[in-house]
Amino acid sequence: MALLVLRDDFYASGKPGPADTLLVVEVANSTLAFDRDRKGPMYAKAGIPEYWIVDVAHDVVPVYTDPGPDGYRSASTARAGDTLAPGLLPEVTFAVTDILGPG
Amino acid sequence: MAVATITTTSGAPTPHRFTVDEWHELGRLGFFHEEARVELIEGEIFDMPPIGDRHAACVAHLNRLAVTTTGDDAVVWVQNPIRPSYYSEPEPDLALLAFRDDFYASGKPLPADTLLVVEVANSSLPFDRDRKGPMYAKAGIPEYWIVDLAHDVVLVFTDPGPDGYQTSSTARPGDVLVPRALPQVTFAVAEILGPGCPGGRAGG
Repeated sequence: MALLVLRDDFYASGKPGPADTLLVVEVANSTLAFDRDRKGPMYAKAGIPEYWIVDVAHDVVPVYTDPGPDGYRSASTARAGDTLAPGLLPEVTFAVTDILGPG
Repeated sequence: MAVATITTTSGAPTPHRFTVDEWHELGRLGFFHEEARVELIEGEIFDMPPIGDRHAACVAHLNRLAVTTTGDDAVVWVQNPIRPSYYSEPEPDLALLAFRDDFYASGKPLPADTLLVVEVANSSLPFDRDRKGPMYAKAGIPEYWIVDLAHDVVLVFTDPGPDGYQTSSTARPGDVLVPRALPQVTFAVAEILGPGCPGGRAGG
């Protein structure tokens, strides 16, 4: 999932670039290493401001911010009970418990 | 793991028909690259074509329309797998599923759970109509829409049977589509197609 700057044409005239992309979220089970170590640096190098991985195997959401050429410089881990809000959309809230679902 | 085989009475070789169990075993083995976009349709594995810009925008419109009008009446399922049969696990652009508290975490949606399937088609229209349509109909999925981007219409198929959908119609900008199983959910065709098509409007 990604959250993009609103455009009237919903990007019909061209795919979103880094400047349009406010948040990227990947859901990972067996792909955690790929999502963290391959996709993470790719998104950071592009300057995408925030990247979350929903780690369904461990029921946590690693949160990456401060993109740089060598990857995201800040990382934290959100758990059930926490509420996440993208830095660029602070009014949009995600309860980690709701993301991970019941069970 | 035992692999299912099918033999014909003539003894002539037939292509192996993959089951969903074999499909998932291939996934566990890492057979396909993480980024590969592949679908299992009636036992055959197909590469999904890259998503064009207008296709992507249309999926975003469908998602927005579905979420804003569906509420908790259904689960909105975007490009996630469903299981119409033991030999198929497509990933339709949008599906509306019977609401379940766990959002199908415990098992993929089966035909009885699937209220509506929508595919967005440009060059893939023949495949979406002539291969996926019969697959969805045989499974008994009650309603199937194809957003035909090349012609700016939505094809509507209902009354599923073993030989395909028995009823079809065409919806155009200005029309409003309502899934039979969810009469409170409305999709304005002009909004599905987005601005830039004849009669299209931006999402409000």
